[in-house]
Amino acid sequence: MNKFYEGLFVTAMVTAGAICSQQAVAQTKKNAEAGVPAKNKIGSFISVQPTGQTSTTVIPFETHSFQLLAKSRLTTYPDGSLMPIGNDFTAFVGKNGSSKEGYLSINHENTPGGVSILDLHLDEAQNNWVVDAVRKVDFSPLVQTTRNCSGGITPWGTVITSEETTTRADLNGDGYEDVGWQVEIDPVSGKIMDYDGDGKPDKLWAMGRMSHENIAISQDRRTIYQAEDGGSNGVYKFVADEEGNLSEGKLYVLKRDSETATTGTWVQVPNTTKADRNNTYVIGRSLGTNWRNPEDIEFGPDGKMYFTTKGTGDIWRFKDNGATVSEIEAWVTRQEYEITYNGGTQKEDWNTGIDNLTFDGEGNLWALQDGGNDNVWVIRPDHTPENPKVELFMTTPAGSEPTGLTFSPDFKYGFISLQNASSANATVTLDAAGNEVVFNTATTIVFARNQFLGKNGKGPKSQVSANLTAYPNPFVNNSQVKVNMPTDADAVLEVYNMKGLKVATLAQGLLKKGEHTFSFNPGTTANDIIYLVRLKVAGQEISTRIIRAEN
Amino acid sequence: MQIIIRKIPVSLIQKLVACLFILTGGIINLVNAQAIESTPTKTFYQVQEALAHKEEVYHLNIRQQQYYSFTPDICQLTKLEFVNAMKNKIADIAPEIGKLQYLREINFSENEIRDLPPSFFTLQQLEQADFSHNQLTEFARGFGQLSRLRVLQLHYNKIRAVAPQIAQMHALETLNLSYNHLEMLPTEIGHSAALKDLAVSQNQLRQVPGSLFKLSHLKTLALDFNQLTALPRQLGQAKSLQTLLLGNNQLKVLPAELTKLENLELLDLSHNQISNLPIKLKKLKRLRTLLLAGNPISATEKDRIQKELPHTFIQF
Repeated sequence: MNKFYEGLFVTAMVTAGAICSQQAVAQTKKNAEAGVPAKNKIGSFISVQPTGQTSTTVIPFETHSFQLLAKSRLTTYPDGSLMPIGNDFTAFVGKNGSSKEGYLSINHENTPGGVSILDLHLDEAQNNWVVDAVRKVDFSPLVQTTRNCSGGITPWGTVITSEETTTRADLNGDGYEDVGWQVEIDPVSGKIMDYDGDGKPDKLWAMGRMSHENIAISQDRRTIYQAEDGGSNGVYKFVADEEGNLSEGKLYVLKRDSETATTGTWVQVPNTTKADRNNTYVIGRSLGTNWRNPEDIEFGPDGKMYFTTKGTGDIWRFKDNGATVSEIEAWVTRQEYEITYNGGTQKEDWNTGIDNLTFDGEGNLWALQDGGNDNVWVIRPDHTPENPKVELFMTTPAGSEPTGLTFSPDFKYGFISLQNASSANATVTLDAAGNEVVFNTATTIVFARNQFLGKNGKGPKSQVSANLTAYPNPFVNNSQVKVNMPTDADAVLEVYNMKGLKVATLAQGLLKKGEHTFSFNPGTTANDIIYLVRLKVAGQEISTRIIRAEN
Repeated sequence: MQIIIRKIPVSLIQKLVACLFILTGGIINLVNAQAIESTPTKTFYQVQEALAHKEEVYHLNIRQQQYYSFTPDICQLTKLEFVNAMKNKIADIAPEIGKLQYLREINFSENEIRDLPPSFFTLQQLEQADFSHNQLTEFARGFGQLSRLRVLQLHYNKIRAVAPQIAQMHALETLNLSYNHLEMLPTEIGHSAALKDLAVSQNQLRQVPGSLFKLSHLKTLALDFNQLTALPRQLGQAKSLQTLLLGNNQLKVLPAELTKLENLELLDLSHNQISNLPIKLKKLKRLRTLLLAGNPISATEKDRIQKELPHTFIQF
C-alpha cells in the first residue's frame, strides 16, 4: 500500500526541493542522535516504557493523542447489526486525495470475516474525527469472506482485502474455492469489483489462492507484491496485463539462489486454469523459497521491498531488478534493543511475530507485532544491524494484537486496530475527543501528534504511563489499589460510585516515582456494587472500574 | 464519542413501518420494506447474554474465549443455526449438543477435542462442520448419519482410521483429512458419491483403494506427502478430475491409464522416484501444469514429455 504514499512523499520532496538523502529528509543529525525527528511529524516521539501489555493502550501522550473510531460489538451498521470482532487492516482512502475526508475500511479477521467501511471526516474546529456512516461490504454473492487479515490500497483508490485462509469448499459450484483470495472493493460504493462485466462480483482469481497476508500495489498500476503466511510461505509478485485492472496477469514466486544468497530469481507460477489458481500455494511451494511465515511486504522509501517473516522475527529487504532480485538482507533481527523513554532506559526483546509493516513520510518503518509483547515498534531510517535505531511507540492492551496501521496521505494521522483485547480490561482512558475508552474488545483508533488531534490541539497530555490496577477485583471487603508513578508528581486518587458521587479520597498530594498501594474499603453499609477509581496526574486522568462481589 | 449507534430494535422499526403504512394509506417505499425483511440475524458473542434471549439466538460466536468445554448451558440455545467456537481450549462437547437440531454450520477449529458424543451425529440439518486442528483419533462411524453434511474439515487431527459408514454420506462434497495419521482409506469411500474435493495430504498412506477413482464428480484429489508406492489402474476412471496432487510420495511408475484423465489441468508428481511417464501423454489435452521436480528423469525422457505436451508448463 505504501507505494501510494511513496508517490506523494517523493512528490513532496521534489516540490520542496529537498535533498534526496534519506537521513536529511527524515531528520536533522542532532535530532536523529536524540532519537527525535522533526517535531510536527507523526514519527517524532520519545519511546514509551517497555512494560509489556497493560490494561490499556499506551502511546507517548506527551506528544501524541488517540481517538476511538470503531469498536466491535458496539459500532452499529444501519441494519442494526453490530460490527464483528477481529478488527484488522485499516485503509484510509481520502476523497480526491484528501487527508481530512474519506473512507476507512476495516478488515475483520473472523469466521466468517468481513469488511466495514466508515465514512469519516476531520472536524477542524473540534480537532477530532467524526464518523458519518458505518457500512459493511456484502460478500454473499461470493458465498463469504473469511479471516480478512491485512490488505492494501490501490493508486486508483480501491481497497484490497486479503483472505488469510485456504479452508476448502466451493459452495456455489463456480469452480473456484470460496476463500483464500485477494478481493478488491470500491470504498465509495462498498461493492466488490466485477471484472468480467457479468453483473456478479469477482475475487482476484489470477493472483492465486493462498493464506494471503497482505498486498502492496505499485504506482505503475500493474505490479503487486504479496506474501503467504503458511502454505508455500512464499513471497510473490504479480504483473497485471493492463494498468489498473488486476484481474489478469502473470504470477511469480521468489526463489533465493541459495540458502544464504543475497540474490534470487522470480519464477513464473502458472495461473491460467481454475486448478492452477485454486492450488497456487501447492505450485508456489514447489517453485519458490520457504521464508517461514512471511507476512507484510511493503515498498520502502529507498526503492527496496521490505517484508517480515513472523516465524523468525526478521524484517528483510531486497532490490527488485525485474526478473531477479539482489541485496537480500535481514535488516532488523531478533535481539534486545535498548529503549530510551522519559525516565530511563530499558532493554526490550524484539522477539518474533513481527507482522504488519508501514512506512511513514519520513521513512520510519512502523512494525506491529503479533507475539512477544505485541508492541508497536518504529525503526528509524538510519538503522543498521550494527548501529540499531529502534524505538517503542505503543504498548498494547492485554490480550490484543496491534494490526493494520495505515497513514493519511499527509502522514499526520495513523489508523490502527487493536484486535480482540481481553474482556477483563477495565481501565478507562480518555481519548482526544473526551470519550471514555475501555480496550476490552477489538477497536480501531486514529492517532496523531497533539496539535492535530484533540481540543484546541491540546489533546491528552498527562503522563498516562502511570499505571493503575486494583486487586482483588471483584472484591468482598476491600480492594488494594496500586499506582505506579513514572516520575514524582502531584496526584489525586479518588473513588466514585456509578452515580458520580465521590465515596473516598485515597491520596492527594505528591506521589513519588514508583509503586504505591492504597486500600479501599467501602464499609458494610455501602449499597454500591461498581466503583470507579480515578487517578488525576498533571491535568489528565486514568481510571479503572472495580466491582464489589455480593456475599 | 463520534461512533454512530443506531441500536433500534427491529421490532420497533417494524411497528414504525406498520404505522407509516396506515398513515400513508398503504403507499410505502417497497425498498425499505424489503430492507427490513432482510435484516440480518444478530450474532451473539457472549453466552450469558445469549441465554437471556434464548428464543432469538440463531448465531453464536465465542471465538477465542477460553472455553474448556462446550457446556450444557450453551445447548439450551436450541434455535442455534451457526456456532463459531474456534480457538478455544474445548476438550469436551456436552451430549446435550443433540438438542441443537437446527444447527447448519459449526466451527470448532483449533480446540482440544478428542471425540464427539453420539448425540452429535443426530444433528440432521448440519451442512458444514469444521473440526480441524483438534485431537480426534478416528473418523467415527456416526458421521455416516449426517446425510446433509456438505463440507467436513478434519485436517490437523490424529485420525488413524476412516469408518466405512462414510459410504452413507451422500451430500458430502468436500472432505479434508490432511495432516492426520492415516495409513489407508476404506474401499467404501468410493460410495460417497457427491465428493468433489478430497484432501488426504500429509498422512502415511501406502496405497489408496481403486474405488476412489469411481467418484464421478471428483475434481480435486490431494494425496501429496504420503508414502504411496503405486496407484491403482482404476485411476483413469476419474473422468472429472482436474487437479491431482501426488508430490512427495514414493512413486516409481504410473499406470498407463493416467492418460485417460482427459479433464486433468494440474498434475503434481514432484519429489517421487519416477524416471518415465506413461506413453501417449498428448491425450492429456487440458493439462496446463505438470510438476516433476525431484525425480530421476533422463534428458531424453524430458525431451519426449515436452514434445508431447507443448502447451503445458512443466517444472523438471
